[in-house]
Amino acid sequence: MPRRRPGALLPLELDILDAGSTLQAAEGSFFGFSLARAIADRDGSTLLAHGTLYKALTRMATAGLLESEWEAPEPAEAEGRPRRRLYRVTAAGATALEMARLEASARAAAAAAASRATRPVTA
Amino acid sequence: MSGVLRSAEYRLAARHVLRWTAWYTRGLDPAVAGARQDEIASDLYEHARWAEEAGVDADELARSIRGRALRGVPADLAWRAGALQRVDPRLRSARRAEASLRSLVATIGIVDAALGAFVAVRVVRALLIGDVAQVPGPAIGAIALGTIALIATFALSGPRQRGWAALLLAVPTTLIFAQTALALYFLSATAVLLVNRVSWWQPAALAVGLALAAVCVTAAVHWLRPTRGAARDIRADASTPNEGVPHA
Repeated sequence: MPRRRPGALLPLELDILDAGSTLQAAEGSFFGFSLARAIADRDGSTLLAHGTLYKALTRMATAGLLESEWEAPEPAEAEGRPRRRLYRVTAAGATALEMARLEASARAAAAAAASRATRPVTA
Repeated sequence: MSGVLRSAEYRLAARHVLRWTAWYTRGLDPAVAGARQDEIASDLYEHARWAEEAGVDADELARSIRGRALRGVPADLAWRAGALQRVDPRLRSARRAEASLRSLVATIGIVDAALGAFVAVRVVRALLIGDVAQVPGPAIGAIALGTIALIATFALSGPRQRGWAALLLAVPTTLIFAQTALALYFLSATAVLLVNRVSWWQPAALAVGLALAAVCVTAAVHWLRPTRGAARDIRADASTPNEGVPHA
């Protein structure tokens, strides 16, 4: 399997940063299931597998794209549920997402230009 | 709280996922393992709560949970491999030595059981073709020893009884090589030739048995002694800063 270019983000990581940023803007942070739900709702796909989701979150936290902390026990106890691990997109994560979006739009623009150049001219 | 969160289907699916999580986090640093287990427990609960609000029935929820767990198995195993690589090198080499010892003892058990099975097959064959009128005494001994070895080999899989299983395995291992040779003396023409030509076969078979039994006893002593403080210290040192136990 070819190795990943340093700094390059996988499609799943882009999805996580994208959906995570949206959730973070609305709620201040996000947790694993809320992220899986948001990605599934947006893409119309099934929920991300546990292993895939949490492996990616661990990897991204180690890479500094996300930061995490366990929520305080009080809200969990009040609602009678297990504590959530809350994630936030870091500044490095936001920058990586912005760079990836810029690269994607540059690629799309280049592809459109190439398509225009090869299209036969009709009289 | 309504039906879905309390349903037997959800609880069974959640129990399976948590059991799987406990399995693939076994032997890891307790902080790392605990954090992953708590995060999965939280995910399962949130999934059920969402299902309840969305009007998803218990069967569909259980299917979805199982599907998510199954699709994530390769990632779980890859995560485990990564977590094992990050642990202290002393702990890693100790784990490797432990795995080698387990494989060695299990191999001895399999060889013992295979010898017993081989003698059993030869006995059946000899009875069918009329080579012997009744089962020779040494063959009964070899088959019994092989059976004990088989039981002990299965028992090796449980960490709690592993030490006692290795100790039990030492008994058939000591005797089965000589006993098999004796049994085959009644069942195989080749064995008759060998026994008559090689005068030292009996001490040699006993020596091999004793050497392998010594391996079993050493392993048993290793598994039966209480965990040393040093091993606990290594585990404590190996915690990853990015992981944390929520309920410390």
